[in-house]
Amino acid sequence: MTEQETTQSPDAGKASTAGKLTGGKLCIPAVGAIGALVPAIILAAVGNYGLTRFMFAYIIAFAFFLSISLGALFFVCIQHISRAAWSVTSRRVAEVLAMTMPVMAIAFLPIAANVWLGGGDVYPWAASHAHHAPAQGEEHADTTHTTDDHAPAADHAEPATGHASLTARDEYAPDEKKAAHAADTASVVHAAPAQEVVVDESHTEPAVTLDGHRHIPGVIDPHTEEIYTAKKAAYLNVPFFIARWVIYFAVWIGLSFTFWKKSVEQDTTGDVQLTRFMERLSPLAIVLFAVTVTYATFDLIMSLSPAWFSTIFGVYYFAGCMLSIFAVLILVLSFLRNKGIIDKDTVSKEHLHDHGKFLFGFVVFWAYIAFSQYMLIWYASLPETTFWFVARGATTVSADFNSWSIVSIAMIFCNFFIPFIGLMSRHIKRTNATLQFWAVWLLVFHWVDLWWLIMPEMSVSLKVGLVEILTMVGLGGLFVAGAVWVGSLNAIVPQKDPRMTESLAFKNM
Amino acid sequence: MVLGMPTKKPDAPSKVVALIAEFDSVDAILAAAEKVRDAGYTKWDTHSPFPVHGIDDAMGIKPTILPWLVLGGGITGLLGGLGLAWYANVFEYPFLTSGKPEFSLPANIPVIFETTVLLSAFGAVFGMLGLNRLPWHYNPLFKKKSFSRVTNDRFVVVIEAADPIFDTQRTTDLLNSLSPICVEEVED
Repeated sequence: MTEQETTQSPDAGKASTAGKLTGGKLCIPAVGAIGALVPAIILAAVGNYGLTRFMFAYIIAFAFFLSISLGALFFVCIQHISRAAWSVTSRRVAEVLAMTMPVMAIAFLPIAANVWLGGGDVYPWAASHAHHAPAQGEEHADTTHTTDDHAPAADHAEPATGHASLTARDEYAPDEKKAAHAADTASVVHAAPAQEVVVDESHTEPAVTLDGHRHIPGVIDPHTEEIYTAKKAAYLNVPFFIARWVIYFAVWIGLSFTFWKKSVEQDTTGDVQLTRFMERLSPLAIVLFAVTVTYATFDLIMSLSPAWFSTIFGVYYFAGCMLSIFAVLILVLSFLRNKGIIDKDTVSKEHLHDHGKFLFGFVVFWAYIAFSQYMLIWYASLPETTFWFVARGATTVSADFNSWSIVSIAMIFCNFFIPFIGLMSRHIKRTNATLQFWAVWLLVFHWVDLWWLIMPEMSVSLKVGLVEILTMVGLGGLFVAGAVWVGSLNAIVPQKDPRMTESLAFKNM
Repeated sequence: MVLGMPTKKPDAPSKVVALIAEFDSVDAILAAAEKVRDAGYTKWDTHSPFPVHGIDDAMGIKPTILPWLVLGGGITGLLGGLGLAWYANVFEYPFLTSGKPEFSLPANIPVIFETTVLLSAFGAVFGMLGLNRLPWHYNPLFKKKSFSRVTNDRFVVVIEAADPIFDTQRTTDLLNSLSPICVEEVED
């Protein structure tokens, strides 16, 4: 592009018609909302699970708002790497949302404190007594169970043909013959008996807390979990966990700040070299982003169940990040347009239509990743991976359905089929009210998705209530206050961007 | 709108099948398209070297039915894939794999997904060809000098003689009033 050869682009003088946020007004109620965390803590403390309940609710809320910040950072990166013009008028909002990263770093402190002091009530690997086996767990480790009240006898008449069974539970079914076989197998591999995965069968019985451990009955017994945890101790330990999060936030804050700072600098100078710089930075930023987000997801969510592993898990959370940022961008941009802070021609129906297309695309992407993860684990049917889905009732074995099954099934429809059909039409994406409806819908079910990922690690029954809502309000207050404050420092639409004219003229064919 | 397939008889005198007007800018073609649209023509088209923003509105083009063809293809692929999976795994050749039920949906979703995508794509490609009445081996427009630069730097409006309100004289006058570079008659 020849226009970029000049230091000052010809479009530089063309200021977009954008106002500034008046931060003060919104900041105060937002900061006040942080107070909602106090009743959340009190409510949780008097409940069955005590402060552990609050921490789980807090991690859900933290993962929710972090996904917006991360999505915003990635959005900015892909606009620069692709030298996109259409998105220039929306880009500042994303830069500001990414700049909530320091706030998220502060919001991480309670989680760090819990890991440091909590003795593993939330993250089992953080228990100081990592090698201590609970008494009941030891019993489980050496015996194969001989009672099974749930499965009909017919189930066990079949395995003579040698089918692999659908779930871990059936694999260790207490048919006399199978028990004998299991014992044989155990003696054959006696050199490493500790590695044998033993799956507790009492999972339809009420939740039992063993020796201060969270225990998801029947999914994976605490002893097995401890063996896996011990094997992963080189990675899953408190100092390294804290060190990793310091690195993650250093990377995320560094990148968010750089992109925001350079973009803001261009508002006054109109220097095209700043755009060039960000285009060169973005590939590196994307690589750093991919690595940090993958490991951060492992640490924040997957390690709640330290025995479990899924390499696609980081991508799964990334899909949620992108869903939430496009939903949030649609809502924020619509809000700013309605308030007259952004001119309706600056961010036009055409731009919102494109955000809607991305939203639609990432609905499909999320489903693709979610299904890929599920299908591989379901098909291989290895007990050391299936238990995680069994805990969520996401199984095709009716005997393993639990109270989370309804959520798992609802998510197939509410996170995919319904918004997929709902967002398909061009007219819906080009109509403000319907587009915003689906943005809200997907944000709600993005939260449900995170709730479904995190909460089953605490409780086999559905746990949702005021604690979760108040925690969302509290952390949301912090997030909004941070975003509004950063947003009010500068114009809310980039000024003098070399691609501004092109962006203003953008039209869908 | 495109020209109807010409039916050429060897000895018949060539007759005017369309009028072509050549323009040299996007603004001119947009203004011209609006005038032609407002004059009530239906069988006419514009040609340009690149997509012109706003030409759909200027020409008053109605939304295409292509998305519905794609949807139809997709639903056919979905049901076809589902039926194929059921037919093969349950009806025709039931075979126990990995202890899974004979008809287990998760294992079949990749197949169903692929057939859905395949037939959606077929719907898009063949639907587009059908709606445009392509492929076409002959078009009298290619004989005209005014049309030769349409892939380079010129824009043209073509009004077909098949249009109900087409009248060689009046249509020529209309096109001339749009200040084109030139107006030509297109013979078969």
